Amino acid sequence: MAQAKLAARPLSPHLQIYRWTWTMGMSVFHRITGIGLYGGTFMVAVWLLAMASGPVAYDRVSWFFGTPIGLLILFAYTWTLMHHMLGGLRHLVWDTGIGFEPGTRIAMAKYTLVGSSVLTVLIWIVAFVLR
Amino acid sequence: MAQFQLPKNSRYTDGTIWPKPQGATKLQEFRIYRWNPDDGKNPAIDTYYVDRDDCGPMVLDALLWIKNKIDPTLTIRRSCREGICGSCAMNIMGQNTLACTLGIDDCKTDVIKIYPLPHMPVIKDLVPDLTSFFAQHASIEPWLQTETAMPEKEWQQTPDERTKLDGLYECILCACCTTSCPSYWWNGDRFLGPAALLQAYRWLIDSRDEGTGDRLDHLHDPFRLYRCHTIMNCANTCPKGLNPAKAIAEIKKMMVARAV
Amino acid sequence: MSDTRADTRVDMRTPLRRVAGLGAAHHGVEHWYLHRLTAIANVPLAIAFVIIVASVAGRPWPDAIRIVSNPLVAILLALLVISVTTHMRLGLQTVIEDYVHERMPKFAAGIANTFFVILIAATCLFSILKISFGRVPLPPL
Repeated sequence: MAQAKLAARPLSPHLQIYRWTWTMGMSVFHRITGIGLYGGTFMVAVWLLAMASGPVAYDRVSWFFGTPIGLLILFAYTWTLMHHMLGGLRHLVWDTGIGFEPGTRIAMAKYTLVGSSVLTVLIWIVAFVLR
Repeated sequence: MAQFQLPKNSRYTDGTIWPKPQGATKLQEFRIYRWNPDDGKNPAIDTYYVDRDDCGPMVLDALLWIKNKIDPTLTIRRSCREGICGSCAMNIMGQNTLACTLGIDDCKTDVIKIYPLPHMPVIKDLVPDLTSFFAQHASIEPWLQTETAMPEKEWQQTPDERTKLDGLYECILCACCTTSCPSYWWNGDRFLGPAALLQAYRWLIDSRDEGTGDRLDHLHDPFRLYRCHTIMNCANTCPKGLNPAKAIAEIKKMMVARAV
Repeated sequence: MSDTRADTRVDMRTPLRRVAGLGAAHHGVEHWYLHRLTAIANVPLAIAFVIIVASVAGRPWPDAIRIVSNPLVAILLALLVISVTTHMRLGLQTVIEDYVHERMPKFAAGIANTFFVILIAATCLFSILKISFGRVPLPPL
């Protein structure tokens, strides 16, 4: 057989064509919220350091988180935390070996999204009511 | 960096629109990924129209109808046409499945899109290179390993022990699950993938096998086993209804059980 | 990108050799287990954290100090910092392993991950200790 010139083989499409499912989407969200929380710990460190530094530094930080932008960041961070927490609980359940049936695993993924949204709103309502 | 975008030589465009069959009343449109290693071009998506009254009910029937009546160069793998050999695995309507067990009517769409199994090197059209996939299966040593002297008749096991193999032995190695896994897309050179891990588990819980410790040692690696993040695409896509995700969870439990 | 073609102009190793790589590393379960352990610890600690932040939010600095220097609050926050920073270091390490494959960027990212986590932990723990024991004058009751 003559030495055929091998063309470089293309890579078949993946993300471009694969159908998104609830479990796949929530897995991506779990990762994105994890990374978001990772970055957000910087805010927690700043807040605690300001508190330890004295009233002037603390008031400045406190003021920022009271502004509309600050409140929006805190709201987003709460939702991120709740979603990652519920997603984490979902993964913990799967790690014990249960919840793998077709209906169950998709329901668990859906309720992560619903649950985190509900919890976030609840937390903020309670926080404001008790103020 | 993991490539989320397709490399330049893999980007596809619209290709040929093949003529509709004359006199057909019931047509189904197919858009199929094509690549020819001999013409030096990038892949393309060709459009075909299949006469439903002249064609069998399954997607594989449609592909063979296209080959027979419209375009004989369309290249696919196929053999048993009954969902047991695993040859015709491809991505249809965004999910990996066997073309011979998916009904055309079950697609419930005007345009059926067919691509090769995702993130694999393409040999031609819908035929991916599965060399690495099969090598990964071989690497988990899918055979009975014993040290005890061979019994006179057979290695025995109770009915309960045999039940543990249900949902594992039925795998036909079609590669639908492994190529549906995003972790395998980004780390297919080091992550074994759902199919190989399902088979690894099949041997781990076979009561007749005596190589459990060595098998677990072979899997104990941050990439071979632990690239699984329970994304669940594998279980969602298996055309035989198996659950690789659950098998992998059980392997992880065994890893903890022997470490604690 | 995993190139699995048997292109013998480039790579004449057998498929089995290619997938065997450098052999199993024989570690992974410890990382996995610690990640889950800190995940479980994080659930009650994060809930406590949300309650603490909600209690402190909007209050003047003396009140904040009084709340955070309370032994229970300070201990919960300290435990949270340790558990969360451990969890997030392991988590991001997994993400780096998933997406970064070239040697230098992978090592650099891994080191940056560890250093950032240690910085956050040190800052938070120092602050909690200072609030509890430091020369920050305790406000009158």
